[in-house]
Amino acid sequence: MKKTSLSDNELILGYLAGNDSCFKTLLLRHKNKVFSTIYAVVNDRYIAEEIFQETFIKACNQIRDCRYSDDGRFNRWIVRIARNMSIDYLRKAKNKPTITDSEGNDIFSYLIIKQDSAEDSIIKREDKSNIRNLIKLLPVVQQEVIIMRHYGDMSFKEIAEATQVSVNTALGRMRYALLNLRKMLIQQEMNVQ
Amino acid sequence: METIFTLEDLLNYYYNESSSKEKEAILKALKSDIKLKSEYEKLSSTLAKLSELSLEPSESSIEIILKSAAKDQHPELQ
Repeated sequence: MKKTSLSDNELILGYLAGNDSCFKTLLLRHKNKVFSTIYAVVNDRYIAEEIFQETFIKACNQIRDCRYSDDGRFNRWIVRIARNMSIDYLRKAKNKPTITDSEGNDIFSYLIIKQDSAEDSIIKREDKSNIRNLIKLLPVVQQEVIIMRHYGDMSFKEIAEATQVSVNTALGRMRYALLNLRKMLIQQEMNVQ
Repeated sequence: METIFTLEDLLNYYYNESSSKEKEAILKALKSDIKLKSEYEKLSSTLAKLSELSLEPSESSIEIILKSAAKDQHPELQ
């Protein structure tokens, strides 16, 4: 039987039996959902990559220690780990003491500016639209649902579970996100003309 | 014909989350309801803009995870 047709639980059992490729299949199957869940919270590619690695390594450890038990719903379990780790990261980042320069400016703000500029230059280099920047202008809950639905391929039901809202709320947020994006795109076109 | 479908219904349809009955009804309405068709086209074009970007983890992250998973599974390889 092809590994891709195996269920998540069968892959976990395969990995526990010593078959590393079962874990690879599991990782490739869920990578986009997990990554977009993280990115939707932290909004930074570099940090998202780090938390993504930590999430799967943590999941792997828990599986090997037989601490995975979510009634066969691996997807829900790993998304929950990813989201909790992302929120923890933000909480810790918020509580970090501020280091100021001689003029009293937060030196961390320099790093943020540098990071944004680097990201901007990548977007320009790839000659893609600035859709990423437009998404960043949306309210956080709208960014979250767009990233999870469109890039993470999560269903509205999965998004509702992950963000602890109703399916209708998730759908409503997506609706407003798209209406706002459309307005911004129209405005942008008018500015170009 | 009066549009009875909401943008939320169209979103479910676009992402293939409608029930087969809803899907059939929307598909039928899209053929006869100009207003709905126009709304769906606007929705699709905004979503197509989103598709210009991809959001996936890097290959190096995948490799790091796989190495860690293999190392922990076979400690004799360390």
